[in-house]
Amino acid sequence: MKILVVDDEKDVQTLFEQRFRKEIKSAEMDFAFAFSGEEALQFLTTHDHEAVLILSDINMPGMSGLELLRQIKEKHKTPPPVVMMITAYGDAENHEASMKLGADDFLTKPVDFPSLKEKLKAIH
Amino acid sequence: MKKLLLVSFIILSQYSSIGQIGSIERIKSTCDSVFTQLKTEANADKKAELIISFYLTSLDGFPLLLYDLGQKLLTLGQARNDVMIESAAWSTLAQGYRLTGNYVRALELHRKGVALAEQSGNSAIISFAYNQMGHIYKDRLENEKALSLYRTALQYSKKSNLKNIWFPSMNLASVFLNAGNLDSSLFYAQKALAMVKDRGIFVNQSIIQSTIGSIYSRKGDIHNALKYFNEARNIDNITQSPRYTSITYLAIAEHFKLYKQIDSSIHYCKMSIDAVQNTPSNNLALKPARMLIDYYQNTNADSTVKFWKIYAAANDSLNSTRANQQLQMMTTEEEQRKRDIEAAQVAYQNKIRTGLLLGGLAVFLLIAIILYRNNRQKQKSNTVLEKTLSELKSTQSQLIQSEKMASLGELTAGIAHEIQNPLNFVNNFSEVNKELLAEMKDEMDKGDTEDAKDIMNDVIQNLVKINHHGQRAGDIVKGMLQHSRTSTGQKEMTDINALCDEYVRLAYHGLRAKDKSFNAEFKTEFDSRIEKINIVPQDMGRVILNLINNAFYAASQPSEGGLLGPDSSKIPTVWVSTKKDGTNILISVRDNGNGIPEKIKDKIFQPFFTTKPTGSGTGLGLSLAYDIVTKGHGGALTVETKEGTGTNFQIKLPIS
Repeated sequence: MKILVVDDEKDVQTLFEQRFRKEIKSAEMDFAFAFSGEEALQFLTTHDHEAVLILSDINMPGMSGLELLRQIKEKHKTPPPVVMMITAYGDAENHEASMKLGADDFLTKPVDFPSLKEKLKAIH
Repeated sequence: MKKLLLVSFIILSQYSSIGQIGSIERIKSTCDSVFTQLKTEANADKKAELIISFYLTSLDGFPLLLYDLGQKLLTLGQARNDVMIESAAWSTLAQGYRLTGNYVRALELHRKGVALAEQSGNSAIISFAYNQMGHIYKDRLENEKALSLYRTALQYSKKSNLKNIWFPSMNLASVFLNAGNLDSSLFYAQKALAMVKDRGIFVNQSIIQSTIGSIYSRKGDIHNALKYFNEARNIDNITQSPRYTSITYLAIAEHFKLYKQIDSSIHYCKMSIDAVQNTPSNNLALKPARMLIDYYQNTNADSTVKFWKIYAAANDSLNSTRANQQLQMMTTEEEQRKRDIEAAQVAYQNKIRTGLLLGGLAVFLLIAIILYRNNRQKQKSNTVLEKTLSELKSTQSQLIQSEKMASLGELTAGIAHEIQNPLNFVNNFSEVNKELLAEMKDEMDKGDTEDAKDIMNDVIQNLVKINHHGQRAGDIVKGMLQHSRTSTGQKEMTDINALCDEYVRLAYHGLRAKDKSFNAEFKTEFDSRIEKINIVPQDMGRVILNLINNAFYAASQPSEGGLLGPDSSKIPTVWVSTKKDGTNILISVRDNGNGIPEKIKDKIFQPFFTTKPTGSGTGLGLSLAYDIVTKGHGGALTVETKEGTGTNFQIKLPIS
């Protein structure tokens, strides 16, 4: 399962690689990383239909997570990738906007990795 | 009696001078002297005594003198509101009218005199007023009315503190004599005589003496009659009053007529006429002339004609004197009236002038009051405005503070985000490390040192990251504290050029030390005219450092797009310059970086706003710099920027 993680914090890559090192080792999961919305869209264009799940931060410089979500839902309809939004701001406004744009899930930082792992396995 | 009178005559020199009566001027000067005393006298009885003493002269024979004195008394009395003096004035004027035969006018004025006298409550002056009024009826031989008035005068004289008011008794004696009541006449005449004894010599004494003489004459007591007639003549010799001399001689002439001694009677009639010939009182010649005509008309034609002439002349004189005097009095009265009218006009004009003046004053006062009120209102509103202003100022500073707190509150989410991220990393990496160390232990137990070493490298890498993110969180907190804390730094005279030079080098070497690949140039241009200015050097240093760091960052950023390398055609450069501009000092920090996009230009001074990637800046630098320059030093921090060309930050500081 190819998972695209979008976050402006570069250390997120190291964190995910270590958190999911067993799953990566067993090739159960495959992670790709983008550090901005623009980069994520570029990746999706060049790696069409590869990523089945997208984890995106909302607060990023440049293109925001919500804009990215809107474009994904617009451009990549078949099959629609599962998109999970992550934000440090656990506010109702962001949650509502995310749901309206068709997000599949809404997570609040700090990310609870064991439960995220469960969710990802369930999709798998 | 003679002796006594003589003694009195010698002692009372004032009245002895009145003795040489004859000249109007003498009477006038005596009256003036009494009038002067009257003006300064406050005691009522003493005033009454002075008023009565006017009549110790032969004033009562001269209408014009009476009128003149009456006017003076009237003016004084009315000016002082002194009813005693005013009463005397009316009585005196009335006496003048009496002598001119105008009894109607005289009575009218006497009534005024009596009314005012009663108002004064002084018995002496009341007695005087009634007494004077009695003369009118005495002259007209209305004896009953005359007696009634003289009796009233007598009653008041008894109540008075003045114990020697003689005239009511004297006049009662005269009226009783006229009425033929000899006993009563004698009684009052004796009383009057007793009272005038102590007064010294004066005109009335002669009348009293001659009255008594006449009484004895009619009673048949020739001896006493002649004795009193002689006394009267003695007094007349002293006073030299033509009027009273004439009256005395007439009384003697009548006495001899009664006793048929015609030659003697004729002799005294002639004496009586001679006494007043060529004097203002020549009308008194009328009665003796009439008697002489009667004596001569059947015996001596020549003498009859002679005394007819005298009689006619006396009659003419009486009439013409009356007419002249009346005319003069009327003229004087008219003149007085004119003077009164003029005085009234002057008073009226003065009143108008005073009125106008008062009106003007009132208007001025009104204007002054209005101005004063306006001024006060202005002062009041000024006070209110000042109060409002100070309240506004305090509110403003409160607003700034609460704005700061509010912005901090609004930023809580942002701060949480900024701190949350590094903290998340710290937590996550430390959790991962725990797992990794457990795995490593397993691998070591298995003896797989290669795998154990790989894990150990990961752990070390994670620890570096933990340390990094921990420091990042710490920096954010430090920045926050710096922002919220008010500077306690003291201002001191600082060389701004040296300060700029120091910080530009500090920033450059700091960046070089941190990042070996850092490559930029800096150029300085300092205005040597700038003298030391009063600033907080630490605070201003931080501002300059912040601007310089930003400039180096901006200059060294790759140009547009972010994925392309730095523009090879331009060397990243920062210019730091100072300039004296009038009363200000300008500090400029310029770079040739990408510039600030127009849409975020307005936000760069807001706290926590940053264009740097997450973690590279707190976003508090420019906000703090702005506060330090504007609030801390009363200056201005402005920015000029052009996308793709560069940015210029300028600090403007007032010299004083």
